[in-house]
Amino acid sequence: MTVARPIIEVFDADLHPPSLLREFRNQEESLVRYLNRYARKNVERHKLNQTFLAVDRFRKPARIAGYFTLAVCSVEAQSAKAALEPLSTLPGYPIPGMLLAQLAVDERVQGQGLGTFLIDEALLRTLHVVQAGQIPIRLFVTDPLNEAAVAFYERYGMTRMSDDYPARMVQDLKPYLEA
Amino acid sequence: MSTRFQAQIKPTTVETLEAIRERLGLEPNDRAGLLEELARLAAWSIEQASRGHHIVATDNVAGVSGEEHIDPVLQRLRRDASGVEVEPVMLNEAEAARLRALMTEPVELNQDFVSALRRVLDGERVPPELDWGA
Repeated sequence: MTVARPIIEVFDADLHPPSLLREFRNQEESLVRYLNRYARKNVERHKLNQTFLAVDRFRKPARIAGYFTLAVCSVEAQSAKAALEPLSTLPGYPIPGMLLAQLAVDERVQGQGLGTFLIDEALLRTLHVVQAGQIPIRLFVTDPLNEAAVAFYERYGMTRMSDDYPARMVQDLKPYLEA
Repeated sequence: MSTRFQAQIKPTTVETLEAIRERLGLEPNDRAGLLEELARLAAWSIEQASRGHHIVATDNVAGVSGEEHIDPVLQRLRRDASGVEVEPVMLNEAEAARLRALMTEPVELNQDFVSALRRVLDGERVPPELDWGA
């Protein structure tokens, strides 16, 4: 039995080679695929789209215990009709937000509190952006892939926007930041 | 020096332009005048959006709160004005309606979320110890 605390690291192609990424396991194949195929490309292309890894460096070789991806997003209405009514108490579209695009924990260490720690970490980094003042982040958005993930975010009071999957869930940060 | 401007346009656009021409009191054959007025009006809206501003119409006399001018082109200009690369998250009508309800109805703060915010702001968080098993 090996026990250790992971460290949060910003994804870096030099520090996190393919051999490390390949060892990550999760029931959702798309989350494994994202880490192995797209995390590097998205970091290179989008300066504000970052992947953060929870890495167990105590183990030899090291292992990725979990990860999440954040991207500054712009919530927009697909149609002018959807955006128009009623707007008197809303900010206009687009509404700036932070998208928690992926969050995953290795299936071998699920149920040990890492998911909660990672969402806390995502909120912390969101608050950093809010406090920096460059972008007026209003919404915290996530796209859970299954019912278990929806239940996880519903515990935090996030509201489901879509009945399909990914479920698209939203938290309005304004009342919390003003409280 | 003036320039000739010609364009192939859809019937609906013709109708819209005709309605605007009448509203502005321009002569039926004064297409140049119509184009100049439209260019002047559009340039102001585009300039505002390019500065990141929202455009809201307000009836100050009747005391009615403003109606915002929503347009995808202006939305894009405002987004570009922020100088930040962003991921667009598009909402369909049903999703936009749910978001509207979320942002306008009274909020009961979720205590788990409040606790999470307190945890991160306190700065004393430690990752959990992980047991990988055998």
